Amino acid sequence: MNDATSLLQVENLHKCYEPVNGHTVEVLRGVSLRLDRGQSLAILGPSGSGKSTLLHIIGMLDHPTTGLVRIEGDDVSRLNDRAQSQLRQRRIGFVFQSHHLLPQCTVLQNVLVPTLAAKREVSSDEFTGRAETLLERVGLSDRLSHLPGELSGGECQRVAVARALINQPDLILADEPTGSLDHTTADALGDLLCELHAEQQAALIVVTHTQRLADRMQRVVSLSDGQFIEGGHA
Amino acid sequence: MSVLRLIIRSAWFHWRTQSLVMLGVCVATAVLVGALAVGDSVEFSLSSAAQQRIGRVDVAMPTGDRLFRAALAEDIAAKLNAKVAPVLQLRGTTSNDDGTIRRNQVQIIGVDHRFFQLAPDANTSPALNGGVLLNERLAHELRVSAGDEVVLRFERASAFSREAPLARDADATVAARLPVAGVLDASQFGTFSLTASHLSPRTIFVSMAWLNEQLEQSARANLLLVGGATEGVAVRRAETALRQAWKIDDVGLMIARLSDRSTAQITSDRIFMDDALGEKIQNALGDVQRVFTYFAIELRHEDRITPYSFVAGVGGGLLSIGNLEPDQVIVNQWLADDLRVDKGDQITLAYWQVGPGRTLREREVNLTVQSILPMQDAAIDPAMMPRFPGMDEADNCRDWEAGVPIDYDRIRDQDEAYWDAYRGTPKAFVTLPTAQQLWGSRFGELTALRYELRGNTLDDVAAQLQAQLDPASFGLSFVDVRTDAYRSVAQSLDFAPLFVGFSFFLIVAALLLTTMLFTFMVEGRLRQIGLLRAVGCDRHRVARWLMAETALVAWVGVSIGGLVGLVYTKLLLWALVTVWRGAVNTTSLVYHFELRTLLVGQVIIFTGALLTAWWATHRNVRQTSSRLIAGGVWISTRSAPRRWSFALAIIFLLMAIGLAMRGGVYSLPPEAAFFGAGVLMLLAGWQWCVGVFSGLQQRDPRALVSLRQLAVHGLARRSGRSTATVMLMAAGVFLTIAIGANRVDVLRDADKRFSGTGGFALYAESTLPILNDLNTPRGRASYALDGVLDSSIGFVNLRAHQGDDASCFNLTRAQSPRLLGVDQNEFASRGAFSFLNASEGVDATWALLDWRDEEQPVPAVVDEATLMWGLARQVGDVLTYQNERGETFQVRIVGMMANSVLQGSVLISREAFDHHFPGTAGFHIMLIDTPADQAASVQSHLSRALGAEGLEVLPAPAKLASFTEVANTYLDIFLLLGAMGVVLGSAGLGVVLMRNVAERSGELALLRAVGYERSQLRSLIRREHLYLAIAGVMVGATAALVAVLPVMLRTTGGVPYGTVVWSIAAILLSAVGWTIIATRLALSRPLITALRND
Repeated sequence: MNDATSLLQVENLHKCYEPVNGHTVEVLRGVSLRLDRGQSLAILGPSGSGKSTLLHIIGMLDHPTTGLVRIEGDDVSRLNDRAQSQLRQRRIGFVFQSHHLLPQCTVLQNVLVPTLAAKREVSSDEFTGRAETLLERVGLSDRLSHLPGELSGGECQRVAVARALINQPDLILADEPTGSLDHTTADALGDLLCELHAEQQAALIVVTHTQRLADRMQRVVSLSDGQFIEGGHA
Repeated sequence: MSVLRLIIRSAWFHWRTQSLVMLGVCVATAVLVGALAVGDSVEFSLSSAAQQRIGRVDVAMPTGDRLFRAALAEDIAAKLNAKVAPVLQLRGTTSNDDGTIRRNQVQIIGVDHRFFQLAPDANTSPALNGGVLLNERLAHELRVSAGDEVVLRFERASAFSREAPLARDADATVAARLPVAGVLDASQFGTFSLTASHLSPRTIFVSMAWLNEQLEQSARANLLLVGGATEGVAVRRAETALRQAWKIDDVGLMIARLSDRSTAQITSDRIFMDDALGEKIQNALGDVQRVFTYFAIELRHEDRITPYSFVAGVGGGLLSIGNLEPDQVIVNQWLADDLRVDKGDQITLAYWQVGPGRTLREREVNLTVQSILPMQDAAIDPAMMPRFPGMDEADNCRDWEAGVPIDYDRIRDQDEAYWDAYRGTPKAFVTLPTAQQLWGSRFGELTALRYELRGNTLDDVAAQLQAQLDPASFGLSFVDVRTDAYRSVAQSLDFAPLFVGFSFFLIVAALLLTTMLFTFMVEGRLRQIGLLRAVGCDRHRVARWLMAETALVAWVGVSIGGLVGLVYTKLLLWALVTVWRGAVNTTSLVYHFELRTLLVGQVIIFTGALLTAWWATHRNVRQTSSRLIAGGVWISTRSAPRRWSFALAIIFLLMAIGLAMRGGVYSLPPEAAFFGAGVLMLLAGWQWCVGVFSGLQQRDPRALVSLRQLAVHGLARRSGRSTATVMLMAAGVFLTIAIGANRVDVLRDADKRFSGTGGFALYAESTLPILNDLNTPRGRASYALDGVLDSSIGFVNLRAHQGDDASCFNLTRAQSPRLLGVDQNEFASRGAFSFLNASEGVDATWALLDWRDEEQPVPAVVDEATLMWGLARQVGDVLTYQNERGETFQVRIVGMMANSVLQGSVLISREAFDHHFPGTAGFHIMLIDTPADQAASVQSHLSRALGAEGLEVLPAPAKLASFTEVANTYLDIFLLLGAMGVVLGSAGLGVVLMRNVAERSGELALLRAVGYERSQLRSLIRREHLYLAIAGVMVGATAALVAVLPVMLRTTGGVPYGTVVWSIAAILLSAVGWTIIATRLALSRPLITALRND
């Protein structure tokens, strides 16, 4: 069913991997979900349940075996690499468990990295101003010219959050964003994510296996053995 | 599990990386072993060629144009208990049956069965069967085989120099058509030669008896070969035997009893004898009278003329000529009557002085008649007339065939009557000093010596002379050909270090690649190392295990590499005799290697691999266990600014400038100074890279505005790795440009006087001497070239004393290089050729050759290639030669010319040349000035007119290019092997790139996640690494340009800028290629997995 009003629509998604020892591994088995702007969703589940795979397929980093991923009604799972990349660049922000900051670039430069992927109407100066604002928002306004090696893990992850928001995405996808942080830092980051998502009116999907973070989201679903446990639909 | 098992399993588990490490070791070993084995092969080939060319000969006595009795061989053999073979060796030309193929510079060897007893295969006994035997080279070139006919032409050997006064030029050569009886291979002495060269000469073997017949000689030889004795024959022993066996006939001396029966006259088959010989004979015999008889154009008194007469200069003693003053003359009665002169009258004596190229200058002298000799006087003796060929045997004056322009119309009946009655009896007598002053020449100052027998027989006199004279003073002396042959090989260019040098960059690149791969492998196993450390293994033990693993892999690598190296040797040898033939000028290099060579190559690379492994291992295992277990390689993001790097770069730069500008102060040649400066520039570039990459690691407050900026930042991630990559490329470019710039384009400026052609359009070299000077009308007329050659065409004639070829065509070391006698003023007046160097405190000009003091060594100049490679000498060194009189004399190299068409020879002044080799007639080399538009027709005319002399005329630039081709071929080899190194170096760039991508897979996946297209990532990675390649090219090119600046500014030859530019482009292309391939490979794997559960 095509619902153009929803920001994200995932329909009957299946993901199988090539046979290993003659047995096909089916990671996702008919997953569907829908998400509107401003909504937040936590996907809970144990390791190997398919959470990250689902997130990657939604973010067009991976292809479904069958099923559809629609963004504002358009099927994006069959687009070519260039179109998917542009879509990611303009509309999706990622936060991963590891910050993957470029060690040779400063904090400010790391936040600006996504802006270089495509030509935009926005000027470099405007991006820089936006990055500085975001870094101020995540509490790192005094660390703009620091290198990642000079930051703590929590600070790096906050830089990663700022980087995810630099292009003002419609959808933020966070894969275990607090997985490598202590509780306190993880809570702070969770708060920050929720606040920023609310401020920017973006949809947020967080894949986690911690209930504390999941509880901060508007909706929570659990994924087990490739299916949402409660009817497989969220 | 045992440690050994752990090591083997570990090596097996990491087989992919270990395979690459092994491959690197294998390549380095193969290249090194290959290079060393090429040296073995070349040395073996040269040694084999040397052994084959001298066969079983130990010592030899070459006497050139002095013919001795062939029977001397038997006399000496009896004393030495060795095999002694007489040989009559001449130079000539040969053509095939229909004359369509002609070969010059052919050695014609007259032999008998004794010659082949000294062949490498002593059992060989080829039969001449009334024909000739050709060696394989000549048969191949003439395309003839047994049963075909060949035409050979050779000089009519004569002891009487063809340039000497009154020497006739008729019948200077002999031509004959003979059937080919067979073709001799090397084992049958087909490559026989006494010249130090790896090349087989062109040789034709004929019967010595037949050759003697053609020369109108009886059983004469000019080369004695001694050998075949089991214990060998030393020079000293051979010379002792010679002194016991020789006869005066062997040195061309003849003793005849004069008509008075009481006087013996000693003459020479050379007609002229020098005064020193007269002195020796006088010392041997006691009282002798010296006679110098010469030919006068005319004797004149007032209007009366007596043409064409002999005049004798005699010392006091036996002839009753009284006390004669230097300006006085005694005339015989016949002349007094003919000129109607009496005592006190003055007569004019006109005569010819013979100059080089048989040029004749008419001279006159006025003499006062002191007395008139009656025709019955003992001095009126026809035996006083030297036996000039062409005159001595003539029945009439009008039948004379003298080598001077005789106007037969001037000969009167009374002259014929005198000839009939008195033959060449001198009509006038002057003092010996007067005669010697007027007519003395390099050929001698005496024509006869008279000795009162006082009851002795002629045999007594001969025996006395044989006992007192040294045959060596007549040029009869032995040379140790076996030692010379061994020395020529032992001192030859060693190809092993040469090819190791050529392959150096390739070997270093392979080892660097190996090091890189090994380092990456260690870095990839840091967690494992950390774990081993954590469970109680100290770092030394862990390092030992890793080293053992490396040793295992390296052992396999060097084992396989050694075998591959031997195959690679074959490939190189194949290339050397085909595509690189220009370097060795031979097609017969024999594959050979010594086991120790293989082992040395393997041990060196094995050690090198272990050392680099040790470095990489210890560099990593010394990190803390916690850091190792954390897995990542520690990357400094906060290194302090490395200002010292820039400081060092500036210091190196200043040193480079200083060396380039002030190198001369330290007596460094410009090439060396600038090359040193180039290397310092390379070091400056290295430190500059360290500084720049370190600087990039510092905080850059600027915002990111472009992918390019992001790529530049990427360079800083691994500054050491980036620097190594840049320097690997830089070294490759440096080598390429340095080699390319030295590759000389000789055709540029080839028409200029300062160039290696001397500005001459044509270079001509003849097999037989060109006796007449082609600058003169008479000379041109003698070859029917009058009216054919324009008067503007000029010739510079050079004499040649044959010797070893010291040019780069000869792989063996020249022991006695060819001497050329040049008229330095001819070159000086033209400003021909350029000098590069001279003895300290002396101007480098042709005046260097001026020979002022006979007691001092003869000054000589040689060109750069001859000095450096052919002789391996330097300016100031002294060479020793033996002159025609058997005396040794020294030649000091006082100057070095730029490379020239005269490569391979030692140039001395003609004055010095004639002094030491007075019997050498004519010229063998001519440098010809001709307008460019006439060069082809002059070449054609000369080749045709002087074909019988075996004249080969080449455009001078072509001659120069043939020499340069050798050097250029070596540079090609260097360039190719260097290029292979660069390719390997750029492959290293690819490996670095793949490693970088692997290390950054998380970051790159993130970039994909934030919207970067795959193509953008490729572009980003490519940019980063291309920046490294470009930086490498810039650093290498800048350093290289400084290094080769003197070569580029040198006036001779031209730098092939095209080659240099193309070489750099090829390197860049290679770098781009590897970068593209590596980028595609590296990014072909899904990056997304890196984002999973970090």
